Amino acid sequence: MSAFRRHRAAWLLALPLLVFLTVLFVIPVGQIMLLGLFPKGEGPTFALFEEVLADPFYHRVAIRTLRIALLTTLLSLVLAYPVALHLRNVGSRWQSAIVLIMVSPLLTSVVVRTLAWVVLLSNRGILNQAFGAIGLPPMRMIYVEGAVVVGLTHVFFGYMVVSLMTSIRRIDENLYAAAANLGASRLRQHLEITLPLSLPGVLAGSVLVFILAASAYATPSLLGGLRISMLAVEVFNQAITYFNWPEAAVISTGLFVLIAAVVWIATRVAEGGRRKVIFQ
Amino acid sequence: MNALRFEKWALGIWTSLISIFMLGPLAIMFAISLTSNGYISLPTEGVSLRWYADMLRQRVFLDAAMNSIVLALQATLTATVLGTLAAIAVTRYRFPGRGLILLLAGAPLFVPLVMTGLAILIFFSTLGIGGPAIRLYVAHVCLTVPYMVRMVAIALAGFDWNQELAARNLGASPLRAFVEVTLPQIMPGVIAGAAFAFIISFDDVGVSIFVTGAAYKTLPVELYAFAAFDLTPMIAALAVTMIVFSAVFVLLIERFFGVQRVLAGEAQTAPRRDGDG
Repeated sequence: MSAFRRHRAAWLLALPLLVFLTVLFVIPVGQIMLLGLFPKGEGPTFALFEEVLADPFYHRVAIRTLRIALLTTLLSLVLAYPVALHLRNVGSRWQSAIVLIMVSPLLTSVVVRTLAWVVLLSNRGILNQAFGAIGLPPMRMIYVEGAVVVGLTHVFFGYMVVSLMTSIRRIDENLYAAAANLGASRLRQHLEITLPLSLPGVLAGSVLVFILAASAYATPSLLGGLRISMLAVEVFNQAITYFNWPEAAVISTGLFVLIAAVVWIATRVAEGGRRKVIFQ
Repeated sequence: MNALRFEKWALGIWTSLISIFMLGPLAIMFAISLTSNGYISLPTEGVSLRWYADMLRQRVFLDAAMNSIVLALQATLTATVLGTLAAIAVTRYRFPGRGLILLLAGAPLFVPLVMTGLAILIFFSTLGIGGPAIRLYVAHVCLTVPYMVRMVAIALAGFDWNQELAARNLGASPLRAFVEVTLPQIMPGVIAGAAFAFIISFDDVGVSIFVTGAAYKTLPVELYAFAAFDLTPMIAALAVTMIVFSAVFVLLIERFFGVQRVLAGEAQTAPRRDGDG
């Protein structure tokens, strides 16, 4: 029997998906990556890439994108870690309920959850109305980077909690008893047991939140306004507002490469760290 | 022992505070939708349902909601069929190209949503075929099919294929063996996957905003356009309605599969849901 005939059933089952995604996803994405190299139908040329890379405006946007994505990742990590620890202490019913609360923003539309923040933070929004009622001056809380970071943290928090939870749950309870018997304080137990053993979850959650935050579109455009633009917002502006597809294609390719690079470095560093732990 | 008790208390209080952070904005949205005032405010002057009534009179939103539901059904159905077949292929057989199919099935999750949206826009425009309806449909199948493959694959992980062989030995056709033996057992995974796919499609902005046309808009895109200029309590009422609608599907997933499992499986193998934030 030939290789194909032997595996005919498997190939036939996978074929519809294979064809659909190849023709309608892989080829279009490949096409826009090429569009940057052949902006006017001739080339290949890196002229457009060089133009974008040399533009100080895009430098600012790219650096802001990285900064906002990193801050969002850090904030989610710090806020979510105690929640993930708490999930270990409660019964399964409470656990499901808490997880549902944590992922609730994730399961409602991005417009809805971002709108809720607009309503809270805007200049005549609920918080400023409350400040006014107790005699405080209004504060500017929207169209600043902080608003975008808070909005993104709110949305992607659930991923961080679930990632941390899956690795914290695997830690053997006996390790703590052993450490306590040997006289380790609770703080030391956390530093030497919980923290190192939860690192895979920390990495998985951080990478995930970083990717999502760096490619976010709706939250930065509603909470950041025109001033706090991010790369994904610029892709939209170039493509739809200015109708400049080649430039939009170049920016989106840049965003993709930037994210891939950061994820690659993070995974490398984590692997290096793990090797050190094993061989020390 | 005291340190341990203190820790438990502190973690509990922390978790409560975070829960307020998570639910607070949505709760305030609900309060605003009930205001009797003519502007965004808490219902200080009394509670009224006028904004819900107002919402039901808005043709634009009703049409958009209808578009969204039809689109989500079409995309979910397609993703369910394509995804389930592919998931069976990769869990049941070991064959050359299996890795490629797994990679391909996860690929839409690794590409930023705006890139997918832009790619489909440019692809169809260059070819000069298809209106917004077909573009949205293609985009939403790409968006949802990775989850479908993953969830059916998880559901199939514990399945004993010998059961299907037994049915075949007893004279059942391959189709009948699948429908009567395999399918009922993986149904929870399929239903949960379909519910998840429906929510993702119904809620999406990041990809849709590139491929909608003036004549064919989805509800989140319409809401987004409206929200940027003209924020009224009616928008809050609409948002609350969307939350309730999604919640039904979330409960369906929780009942059949467990939301934790969906997201945890995802966290380990590949990033991202409706990732545009």
